[in-house]
Amino acid sequence: MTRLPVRGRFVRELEKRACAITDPAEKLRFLRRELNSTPEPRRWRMPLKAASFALLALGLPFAAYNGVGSPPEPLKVAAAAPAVSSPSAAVAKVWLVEERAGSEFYSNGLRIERQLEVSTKPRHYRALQRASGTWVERTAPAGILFHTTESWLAPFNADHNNAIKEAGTGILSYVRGRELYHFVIDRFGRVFRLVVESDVAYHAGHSVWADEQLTYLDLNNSFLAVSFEAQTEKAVPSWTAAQANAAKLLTEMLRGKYGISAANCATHAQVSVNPRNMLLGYHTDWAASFPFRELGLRDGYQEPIPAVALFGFGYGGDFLTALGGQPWPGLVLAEQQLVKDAAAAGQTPGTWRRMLREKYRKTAEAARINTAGRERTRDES
Amino acid sequence: MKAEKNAVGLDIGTSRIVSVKRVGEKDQTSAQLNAFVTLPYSKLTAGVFEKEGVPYVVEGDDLVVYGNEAARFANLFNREMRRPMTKGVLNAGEPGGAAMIRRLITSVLGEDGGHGSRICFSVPGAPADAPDDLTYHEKTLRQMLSSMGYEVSSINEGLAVVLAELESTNYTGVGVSFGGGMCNVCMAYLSVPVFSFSVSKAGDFIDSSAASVANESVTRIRTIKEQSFHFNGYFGDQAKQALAVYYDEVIRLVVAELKKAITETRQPASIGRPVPLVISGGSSLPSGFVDHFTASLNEAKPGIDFSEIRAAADPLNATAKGALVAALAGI
Repeated sequence: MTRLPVRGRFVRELEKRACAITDPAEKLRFLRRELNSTPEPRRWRMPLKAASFALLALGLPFAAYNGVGSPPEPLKVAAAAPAVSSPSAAVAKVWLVEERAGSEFYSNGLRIERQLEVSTKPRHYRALQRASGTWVERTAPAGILFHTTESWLAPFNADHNNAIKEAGTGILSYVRGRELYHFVIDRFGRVFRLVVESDVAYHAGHSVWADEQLTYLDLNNSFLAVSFEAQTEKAVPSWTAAQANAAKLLTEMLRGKYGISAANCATHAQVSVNPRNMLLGYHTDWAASFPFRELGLRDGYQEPIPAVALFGFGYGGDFLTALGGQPWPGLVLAEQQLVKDAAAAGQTPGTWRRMLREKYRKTAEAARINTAGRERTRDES
Repeated sequence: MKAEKNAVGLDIGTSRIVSVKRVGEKDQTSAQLNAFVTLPYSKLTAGVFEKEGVPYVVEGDDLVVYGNEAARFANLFNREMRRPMTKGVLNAGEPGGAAMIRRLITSVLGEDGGHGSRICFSVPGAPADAPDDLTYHEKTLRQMLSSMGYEVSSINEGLAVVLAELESTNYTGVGVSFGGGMCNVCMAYLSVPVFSFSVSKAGDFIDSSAASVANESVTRIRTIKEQSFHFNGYFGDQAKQALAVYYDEVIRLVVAELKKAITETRQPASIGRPVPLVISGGSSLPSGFVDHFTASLNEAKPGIDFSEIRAAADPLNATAKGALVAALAGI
């Protein structure tokens, strides 16, 4: 057994106990579990604090690891849980000017190509009322989720015009075949509607969002999907000015048409969760650099992340890397909100987080029951 | 516990696909070359392949031989092997690459399918020196394995090396994998990644660059590398000299990126003690490699102390073994 000099009592104890475990998988499971959960007070005098110090010393947030613990009692989440967003800004009036075979033209200059449109199934979803905890039925889109195709991109210059066009055609075909997004904006800024707005696109997977009134789970049904033909999961984002302009026009039109608040315009990375390990960021497209301002939206990265504040999701090093090494201000705010809510409920943050996670599981289960027979999930979305 | 007995670790590398299965108390390893070669179709050849049990498929006018046999037939027929993957990810230049990967994965996992078994497969870290297509790569493989009946998770390749080799330090240390398409590095603290990255120059880059300057075929250079190359500081043979030069370039690149990651994150110093570094991967096999790497690392003064720098116990299978640990642990 290797004796390891370490920092902090929690980590010393943790390593000591881990050293006694001989089975590699069991040891790994133990480490991940203990780093995540709040240890029992009898065993650890200042466990959470120590754990968070130990991990924060490495720049790793203590919320970063999946919790495994005995299920808490059913709970009521305070109705005074954080207001995730504030009311929307005014939306410009945009109207349909002209409809021709294969395209639509709008008053703000937006042109939508319709040749590739498909229908899937009508939108119908339930959202959870935050104040009462009851479900409401909806058919109108609640928000817009922004994605990237993360597909191969040719250099954006005239020498590669054909390659750019071919790649664009390929990704449109791919997206259409899988009914992944309602809209794709190609690199020249052309807007293609691939799934009709009244229907569901399979874009969000496991996901969480909330506005002041409602909580939304698994947003395929409730949110419209707009995807840039771009890659964001690398150092230099690859979107073009033409795409940003087109996205602005499209967002204006959709917000006006469906009364969507700016607060419900988010990126996939902000909503994507992994229920298996209770971490954020199963998908990380637009984890950074989304041009909120250029689209006439407020900076969404400043807003608290509902999955953290309402359901206790954590995040890991890979997620932080995708964010550019620093957590969004909204992520920090959500963590702070969680700590405040825990104090208000007379719980330690760790216990509160576990309770929130249990709440998520129950809510997700209820959502599944509510949508039984209507749901279709796609891991690839 | 039942799930643990049916767990699988899968290393999907540019050069090789390796699976390690936990069957009862034992681990079973299976590997295939991640490559194929096309030959002109003839009924006679197909018949011989059937008789000899050579894995092949017919595609149009071609017989496509894949896996370990591809190397033999490439040499026999003087053809270049083709790769379904390049630089750690699916090869966009091979339209049938995904289908070929599926065949190769099936050949190491077996035809039966997963039936809900856990499988954890390796994915490269974000490239430090090139654009990446990791999302498409990972999603495609995830979907593929899922459709084969597995409960799928993925793990960073460098972290997999840590899980395979650094159990004795509670999974604290640095794992480095020198593969065919990429080199992957991950530093972990108590199993949690502190940083990870990859560089897209590795074995294939060494082979093709050395072949180019030595005016040899890539296949010949690869043979020299695998059979007689070692680090000894001087080579009369031009091919070996070229190999040494490009090996050195790759090692320096990895060391530079490692130093950069340590400097930028500033976290490793917080661990407050020397950590081990383990080297794995097929490109690390030449004799003297670890010493050469150690000298390069010491020269670079990376900012932390290493308690040891050593080769993995099983360099070719370390990634798959680490992935198996992750699959067994259910992370």
